[in-house]
Amino acid sequence: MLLRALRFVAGALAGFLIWWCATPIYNDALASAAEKILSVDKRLCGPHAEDVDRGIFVHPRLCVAPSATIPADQLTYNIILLAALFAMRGRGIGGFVLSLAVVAITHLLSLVVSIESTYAARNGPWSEQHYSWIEAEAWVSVEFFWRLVGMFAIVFACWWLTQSATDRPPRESGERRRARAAAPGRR
Amino acid sequence: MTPRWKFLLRFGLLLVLFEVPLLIGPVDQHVVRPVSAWIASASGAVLRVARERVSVSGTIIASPCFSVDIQNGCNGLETALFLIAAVLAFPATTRQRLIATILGVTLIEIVNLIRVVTLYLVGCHRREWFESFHLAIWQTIVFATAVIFFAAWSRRAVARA
Repeated sequence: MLLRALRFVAGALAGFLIWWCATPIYNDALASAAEKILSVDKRLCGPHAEDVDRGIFVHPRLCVAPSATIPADQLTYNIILLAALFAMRGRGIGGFVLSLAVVAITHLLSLVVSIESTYAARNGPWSEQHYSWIEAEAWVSVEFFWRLVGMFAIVFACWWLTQSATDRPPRESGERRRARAAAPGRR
Repeated sequence: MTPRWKFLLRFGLLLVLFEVPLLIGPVDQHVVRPVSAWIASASGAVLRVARERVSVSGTIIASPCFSVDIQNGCNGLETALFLIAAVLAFPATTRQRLIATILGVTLIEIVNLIRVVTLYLVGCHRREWFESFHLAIWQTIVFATAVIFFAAWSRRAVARA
């Protein structure tokens, strides 16, 4: 129990340090990948995204449209929980690497959603001209849901799915149960 | 489909069912804000015991030093619903689920109360740390509480079954 708790704290600390130190490099990678996906949406005028002070600055290149700054580090800190939960378990590197890959994909998608949500609802008249009310509501709702619980639910799902047989709850075998029932002094 | 996937599917559906209403205006007004106001009031009481000169108005804890507004996502409600979705998705008896829900939600709200008090103190005395504490550290701790509580409870529930 104590060992698990210590492992959890150590994993959380390692996760926090990695998140804190790697954010600028990671944001750069996320920005360039998001750029390619966002280029599909012509309303964003071929956006260029770059890392600025732990956030991602988005500005259009091909026509006149507002720029936006996305607090990208707030989309990626769920790796702290991921590192802590896997460290607590103390084994299953393969599961951890696979989970990390899944979570990284969701980081990219959540950045795309966050940029779309910003352009759809937080750019005043420009948003109203380019996005319908339903579209804006949909982007904002998906972003809100993700940031509220989705980003933690995906970590929980990865952790839950990669539990090995040894992590499963202990089950008493029929033989042992019968033995216990037959033991003196027991009903 | 394996039991794990079945659990996750049920969990995902319940999570969406529980959390999406939090985005709706009337639910925010009549459920989320009163819960936030209650958290603000309780946190204000704790801070006053710690000799902080704070005043509470609705969801805002204010003082000359720092002010915090407890909004949707900062009152522990979303984490409590996350835990309830997991408990309901897991195969267990009604009694086990009820006990887990009561204990788990209480635990989450206590941790959230500590979070709000700590965040006020961090904002007051180390403002440059506030953003990191607000999300990366405390949000992780609150959700970790829910996940670890659920993991421990589910092991016991299966062992008893």
